[in-house]
Amino acid sequence: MSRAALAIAFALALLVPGAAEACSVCFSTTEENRWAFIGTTVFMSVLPLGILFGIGTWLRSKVLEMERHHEAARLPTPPAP
Amino acid sequence: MSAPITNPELELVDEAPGRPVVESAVLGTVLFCVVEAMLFAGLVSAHTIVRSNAVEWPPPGQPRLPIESTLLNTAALLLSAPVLFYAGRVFRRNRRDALRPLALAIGLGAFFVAFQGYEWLGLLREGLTLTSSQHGSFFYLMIGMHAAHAVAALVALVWAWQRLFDLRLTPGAFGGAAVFWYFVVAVWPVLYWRVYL
Amino acid sequence: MAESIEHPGHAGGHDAPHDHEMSFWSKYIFSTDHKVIAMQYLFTGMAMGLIGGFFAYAFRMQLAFPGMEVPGWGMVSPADYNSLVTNHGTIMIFWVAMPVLIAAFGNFLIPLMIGCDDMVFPKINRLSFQIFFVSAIVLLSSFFVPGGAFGGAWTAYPPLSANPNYSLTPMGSSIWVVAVALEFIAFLLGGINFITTAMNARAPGMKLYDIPIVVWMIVVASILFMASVGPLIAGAIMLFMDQNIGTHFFDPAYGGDPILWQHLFWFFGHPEVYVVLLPAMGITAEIITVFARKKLFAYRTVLYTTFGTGVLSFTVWAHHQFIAGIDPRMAHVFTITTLLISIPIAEMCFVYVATLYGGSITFSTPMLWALAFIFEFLIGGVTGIFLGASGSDIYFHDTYFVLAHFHYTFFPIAIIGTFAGVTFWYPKMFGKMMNDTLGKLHFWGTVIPFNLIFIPLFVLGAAGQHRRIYNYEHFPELSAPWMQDLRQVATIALVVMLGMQLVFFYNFFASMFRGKAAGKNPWKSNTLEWTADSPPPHGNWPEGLPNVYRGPYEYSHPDRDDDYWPQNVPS
Repeated sequence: MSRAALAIAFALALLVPGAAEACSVCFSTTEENRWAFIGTTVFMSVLPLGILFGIGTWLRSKVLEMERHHEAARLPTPPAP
Repeated sequence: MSAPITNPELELVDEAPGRPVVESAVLGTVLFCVVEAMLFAGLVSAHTIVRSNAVEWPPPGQPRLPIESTLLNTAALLLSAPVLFYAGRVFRRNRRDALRPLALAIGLGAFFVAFQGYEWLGLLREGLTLTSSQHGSFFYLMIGMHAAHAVAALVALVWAWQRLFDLRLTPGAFGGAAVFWYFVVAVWPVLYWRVYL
Repeated sequence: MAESIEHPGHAGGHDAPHDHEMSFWSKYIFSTDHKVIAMQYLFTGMAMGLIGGFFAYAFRMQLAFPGMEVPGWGMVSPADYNSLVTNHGTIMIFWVAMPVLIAAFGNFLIPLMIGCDDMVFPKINRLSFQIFFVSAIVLLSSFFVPGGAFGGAWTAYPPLSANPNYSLTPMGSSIWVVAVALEFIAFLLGGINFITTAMNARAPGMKLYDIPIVVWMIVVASILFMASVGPLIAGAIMLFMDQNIGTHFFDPAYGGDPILWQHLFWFFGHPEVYVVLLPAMGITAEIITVFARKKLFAYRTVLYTTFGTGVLSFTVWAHHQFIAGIDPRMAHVFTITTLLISIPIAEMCFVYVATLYGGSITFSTPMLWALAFIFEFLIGGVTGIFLGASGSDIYFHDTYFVLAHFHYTFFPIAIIGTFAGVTFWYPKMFGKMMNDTLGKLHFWGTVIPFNLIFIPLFVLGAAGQHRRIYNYEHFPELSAPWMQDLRQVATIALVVMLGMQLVFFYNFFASMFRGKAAGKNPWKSNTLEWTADSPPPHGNWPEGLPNVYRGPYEYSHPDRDDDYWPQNVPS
């Protein structure tokens, strides 16, 4: 097993800290509510990144296409040094 | 390619700086829709959490939402998107020909908003109000927010239709209005799934 | 920006149609010129900064000398104390850091640095400032309504903020929500403008990797703002409805959830830190390269770490809820992401140090501010590690350690970064040089007292001093003589620091009239704004927009006689 896989396994293991459930500030009574928090947290984390990644990729392709087709024509050639 | 100097109040000696990457109006609307998408994401998340807290949902004594008739409404709204898309394609070939599909898209959207308002009247009569329960609060907040966006987008489309009728509509302005309407359409199924079902 | 424009045009709603001389109103108040709007934001931000600083003075005096008649305010009642603390935080973040760093510098720098005549949507830009200005008035008006200004802290946690029976400010809390919402709308419009302009109006030849770092960072900050503010707008609407219509979104007695607000607030609130940090980081990058006469070390790395910061900033917000009640599975994840986000920021600091290494450094006033920014922000960042770890946060939560930590981040960002930018671009903004001696006096007179304010607060916080307490004499274990001494040290340092700002304001306004003429490029800098006149006329380059031939950081190039190589010079 590679080091990366070990690190990932370790990180995943941190997600199941059953013993810490005894903490005094854990507020929620129902498991459904806990999962609602976890689910919406994942949703809210992933959604903006997904949207921005999509828009960023779209704009980047537009920019690259423009730079390929138009940049040479737009920029006057510098005089030879 | 020479027009888009950014501030129309200025007259510059030189040529325009360059071609925009995407039409500015379209890019601006897309960015605006990012904010709005996150706004609805916040509302949907809040609704999900409060709903998961409830012992019973919808709360006892509150009327059922009209799931079936809203399905018809949803169909009208969803249909307006391809119609508008078709109008955009026609617009690029022959501007004047886009008047009719654009009007059809506006009509479908207007039907959605009007039918929605009609359903609200019924729900109010049955006792679902803004303060009657969390169910009512979230229903009117989320669906009302969507309705406000739909009305705003309809106004933009009607404005575009008017400009098109006068043959003054630019592709950027049309694109901006269309993007906003696509956004309104795209958000609706999520709201329908979370609030109605 | 005199006599440069002959044709006011017909677009501006307030232009006199037959008058070719623009009146004062159309030129400075209802202008669509990005530079005028930038100045409007800058001056409004400065004025709000004075108000926010005065609030800090009033409540710090109460903490250091409880029950004292504060000169300029009078007795600070507990309700006064709460509303002062609340509005100090609100003003400093939303009405000082945001307008100055994002809006003022963004408006001034983006068109000038990418070589275009104005923003893409100039009227939306003007509308943005107008809404912002109204929001500032609305916020300040809450001090004059029955019940007084909102006192539930700048985070406005319900149920305290939602129920007037708890907050005792029936109008103040609603006005606060409205003001904040208006302010968001203003920056939303501004952000759309910044991103679209940077994308669409670049000078011919300016490729994505030729854009100066500060423009990139303001754009990324605007993107972060736009993508994170939505949930808080939703939350603000819900809070407003709770206050005024009688819904119970955040009221647990009716099935609502007060923790929900904390999530909605901090979903925006934490990216907000990076929204204001990134422009300050970018300003620092520009200044460091100019005064070290060296190419920015690893331009693309800085860019990618900026994106990395943006990505991570969306996944850290729940570390503010470690105490409020959060599933331990989530607490673990958020601890990890919070600690991770220090990596890109640390990388930027390393890059800046690497840029300095081996450069021929000039310790001018802007450079001093830039170096101080790195140093002081580093302290803020390092102390954040303790708070990001959920274990130690349980002890540190809501103590003055937290307070000192985020002041060590926000003060370098909003004050030191702003002064760095203002002193650096002052010649471009007003065409005159600032006095360097007064500038250095002001620098040391600000930075030394700043550390004297907040290092004692770190100590007090670690000793368990809780935040948001009006009078520590009521808590015997928190009113030991040494603790009260430290409070007085901090307060006296604050008074000294506020007094030193008079030096800045004198220097700022006197230099406008009596400063040495700056010329186009006093710092011998490469970026495009220095090729325009100082101050740039309406339209920036009336003789024609510049072309771009290279990246912005070509300093000390071995093949050239000059040690700089402006972006617009062909060879």
